[in-house]
Amino acid sequence: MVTSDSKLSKTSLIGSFLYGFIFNRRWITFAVLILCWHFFTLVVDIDLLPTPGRVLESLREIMRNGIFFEQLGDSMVRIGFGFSLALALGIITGVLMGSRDFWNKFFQDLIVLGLSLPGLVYALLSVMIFGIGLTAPVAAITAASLPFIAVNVREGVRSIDKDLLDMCRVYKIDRVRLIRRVILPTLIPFIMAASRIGFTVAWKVAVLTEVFGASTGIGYQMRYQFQIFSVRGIVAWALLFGLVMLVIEYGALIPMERYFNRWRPTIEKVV
Amino acid sequence: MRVKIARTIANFIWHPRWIAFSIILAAWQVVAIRRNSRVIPQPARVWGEFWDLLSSFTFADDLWASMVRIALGFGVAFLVGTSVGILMGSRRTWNEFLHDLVVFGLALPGLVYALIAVMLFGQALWAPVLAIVLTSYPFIAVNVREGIIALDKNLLDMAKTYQITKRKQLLKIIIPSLLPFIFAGIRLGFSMSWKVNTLVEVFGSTNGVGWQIRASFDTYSVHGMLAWTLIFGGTMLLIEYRILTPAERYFSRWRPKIDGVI
Repeated sequence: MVTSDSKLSKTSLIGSFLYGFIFNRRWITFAVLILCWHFFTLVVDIDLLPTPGRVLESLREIMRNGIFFEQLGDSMVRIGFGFSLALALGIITGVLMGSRDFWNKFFQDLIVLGLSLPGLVYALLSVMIFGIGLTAPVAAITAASLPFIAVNVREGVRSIDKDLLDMCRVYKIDRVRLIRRVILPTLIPFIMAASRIGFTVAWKVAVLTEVFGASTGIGYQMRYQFQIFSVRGIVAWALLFGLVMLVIEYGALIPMERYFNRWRPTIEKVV
Repeated sequence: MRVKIARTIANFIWHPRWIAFSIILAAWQVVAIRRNSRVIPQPARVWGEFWDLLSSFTFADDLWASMVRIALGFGVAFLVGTSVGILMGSRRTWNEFLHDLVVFGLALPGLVYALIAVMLFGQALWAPVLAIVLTSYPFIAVNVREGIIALDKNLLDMAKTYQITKRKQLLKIIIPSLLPFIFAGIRLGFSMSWKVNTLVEVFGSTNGVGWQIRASFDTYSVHGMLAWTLIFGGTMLLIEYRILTPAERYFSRWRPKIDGVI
């Protein structure tokens, strides 16, 4: 009985989700926008401004031969390497900064500088120094997204409950258990938030690096479209790539963050 | 008092940041000497270039050109962002209507806007203005929306009950509670503006800091690029941390800190 109940609620949940998804005002937004865009291009008559129809044509062209996924794969390899390195180094830096005052002061200024320098600087510098290999995007991504990861992890380390640590010491809980039961559950939500922000920074810098020094990848394609003055090409590539990144962010990273946050009472519940 | 000053100075001198800086400088110097290549200049060379630019005032023209573009673009972005934010915060229909658009605007990189703006408007002033507006209005809009949602409805009800004039309501309740959010939006939006403006100048411009950075890139002059980054980044960080952040703190001074409330 219980199982059928939960099954029922599950199907109705999916149903209501679909209903909400289909009968949503956002489609009105998109329709209105596309119509406005269409008529705007007709009225203004700038040669370069493409109509929605022509952008759709470009989209189909890109998707037809599977070029998109090929290029996406190249970009994703770069993003993957760079982001993993940034995550590893960022977590180490963040833990150091959160647990020792000396290291916090040591890295503080560098982190602030790193947070505020534009990705363009990292991209250009690494292309000039490392050329067009895999090193350039990896270096640029690491430098750009490490500070964002480090500050989040630092906040996480600081928010570990000191009383709980004291209690563990009094009850002589062994270290492995301490790390598994107290430290990791507190840290992981922060690490997830850090990954989400760091990932956003990472793919933007990766594209920028590809614009200036690469012969494959989404950034290179956008650069190519820029050079042949094809606005519709750029819009098409940007739309597809932006969509993929949004799907990764909202489909994977944010749900994961929520999953690891599930043990904490939400703010509303506490107050 | 004197002890306090002495301690502040001592704290400043014995700060671990100097260790970090000297380690980086030393490593850089060693790598530069050992590699002995044009793309890794010695720190002294970068400093010399920076000092040349600074003392000969050759940077002033380009910096000014960039600042004018940023100011114009950011001014328009501020107007657009605040209007969109107010619409989204006060009407649910508008919030639903604009929500996806703003999310997509937040997510797309400035590069896309910069490239499109340059292709549409070439080297005209419209290019940086369009790119800046498109990248930074969503940041202002979401902040203003949060501000409107956070308005104290009870306070507004009370004002209505006591028949406070609209003008006074606006000046004493609405604007003071909005200002912290508006300033947070300004700070974020500004940091987006100068970055995307540099990008626009890299792709389509014949003056401005972005163009100088592009010129350094094209001539493989790492020291030139670093020097320009120092000048421009320094100026923008000064504006962000010495003007905008204090302003934000000043306008938030009336609110109790979160820690104080809970």
